[in-house]
Amino acid sequence: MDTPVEYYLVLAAILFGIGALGVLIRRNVIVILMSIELMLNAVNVTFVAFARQQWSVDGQVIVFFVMTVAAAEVAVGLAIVLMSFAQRKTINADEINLLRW
Amino acid sequence: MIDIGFGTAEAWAIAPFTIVTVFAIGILLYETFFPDNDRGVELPFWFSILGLCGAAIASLLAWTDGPAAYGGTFSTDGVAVFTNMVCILAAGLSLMMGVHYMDLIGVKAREFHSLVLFTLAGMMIMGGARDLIVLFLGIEVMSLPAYVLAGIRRQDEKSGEAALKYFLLGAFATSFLLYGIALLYGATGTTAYAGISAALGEAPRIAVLAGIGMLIVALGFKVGVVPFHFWAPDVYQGAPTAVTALMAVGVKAAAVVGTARLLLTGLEGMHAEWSAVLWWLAVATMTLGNVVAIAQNNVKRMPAYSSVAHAGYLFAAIAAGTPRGGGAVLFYLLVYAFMNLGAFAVVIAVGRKDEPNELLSDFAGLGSRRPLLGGAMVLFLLSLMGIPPLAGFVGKLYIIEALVDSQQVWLSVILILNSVVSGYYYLRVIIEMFMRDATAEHPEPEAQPYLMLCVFVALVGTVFLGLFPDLALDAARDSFAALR
Repeated sequence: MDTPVEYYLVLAAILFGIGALGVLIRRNVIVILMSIELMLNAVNVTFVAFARQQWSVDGQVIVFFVMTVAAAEVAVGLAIVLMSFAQRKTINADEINLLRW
Repeated sequence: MIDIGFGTAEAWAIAPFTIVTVFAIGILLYETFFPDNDRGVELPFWFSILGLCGAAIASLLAWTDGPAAYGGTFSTDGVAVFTNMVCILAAGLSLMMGVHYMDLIGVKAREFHSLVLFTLAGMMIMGGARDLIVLFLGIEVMSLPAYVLAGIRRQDEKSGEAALKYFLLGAFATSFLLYGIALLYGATGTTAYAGISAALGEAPRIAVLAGIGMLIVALGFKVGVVPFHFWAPDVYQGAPTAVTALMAVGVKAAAVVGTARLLLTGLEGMHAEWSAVLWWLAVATMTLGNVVAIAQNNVKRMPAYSSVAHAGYLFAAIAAGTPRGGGAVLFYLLVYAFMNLGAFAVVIAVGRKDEPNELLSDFAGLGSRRPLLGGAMVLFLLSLMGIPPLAGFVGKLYIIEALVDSQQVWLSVILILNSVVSGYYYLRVIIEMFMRDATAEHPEPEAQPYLMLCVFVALVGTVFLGLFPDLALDAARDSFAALR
């Protein structure tokens, strides 16, 4: 029995929503990074689901691009977080606020 | 499935950013093999300039109106070549600004130069992208070095904070971009602009609209339009000035062209829908940028808001939705590169080691202390304001013409009113420079030949494009008219 594609799309949408909410309400920079990763993985689930629906491999290939770029992004991101932590001894986004309008 | 082979067209298509990448890696390797051989800042600078010249020549030679490379997903048409030129110009002038400045603030020149070249490679990919995945890769190749560049001053807390904010919001925007791409892929079965445009008719409307919405949010983040602009002032203020200049001009130009090409080719069929969204974004961006800029007294934060306002002008021209509007966008980007980079160069020239001199009052008396520098700044500011016969005026004129041409009269009226408002804060700097006496002691500045060369080039560009806009304008218009 095939699971309908819609199930995967709804799951992905919910995951994406949880990730977006996490970015907006959590204050720990590491947790924000994890939330962004969750959003990217939700996108991957969407791509694979659509690829399955249309019976084309494009969507699956794109997932590899996304994963590669996500890995590069995390490498740069964690380096920036480390630098920021070394400067201020905190990873709380609310305390990083020298620049304010 | 797109058939991807590798032939002459492909080799030419990737030549410009391959050259830039090779030079960037070359600088890093030099650092690795000769760590102690510190030949000063000039060697990496001239090496980078050589790379930029090579990339410029390669992209001119690659110029073709024939079919795009890589199965139609990457193009070297006029729009791409024009964008490459603007971005190379922005990178070159930023490097010129940075030669002594980076040394002064304790940044290794080689790190700065190679990162600027890597960012430039991403910008060039964005300019030619005719496929959503290529666009995504271009944005990432451009953004990752840009995050690092924002935090390149490792001892400085402000710089670190700017990098962190830029990174977190940029990564957040990237996930929206990808979700938008996924929805469009699901709705149309392809990510190539040509295929999307052909399939739009039968595609499920809700998925397409949601996809376009997410893409506009993500690209709006990169360009810095209201309400996705809140990172811009913080990052522009925190990053070293030469980096700020590159971000305010190069990154913005690439993102704007990426947006324009996507909307005008792939999503042409949904013109009525996205045009309405862009209308509101443009109005909000222009108005908020200009109004908030009035309240700023930091000369890096004020241009940050002014650059938000300029993003609004550019989005207004895209909202016109015609090739004429696209041509106006390209021309304005070129003009904006000259006048904005010039203004940032003057900001650097006023600052000294450990004294950034970024407050408006630090400019007091500049007109009598250093009349040439003050005079150049006046021209840049008047051009940003849109005073004839300078380039900024011509640029705005053609945006307004494109708007009137496509019946968007109200948008052009709002744009003109905004220009008037912007006069207030630009004139304030001029008044400060010429009508106030210096409040503090300003010792004689060191000679900075590269910085002065940068101011000079920007000045020539600003005046020349104002008096003789025809050549560049025709190139910009023809390239968008030929866009398929």
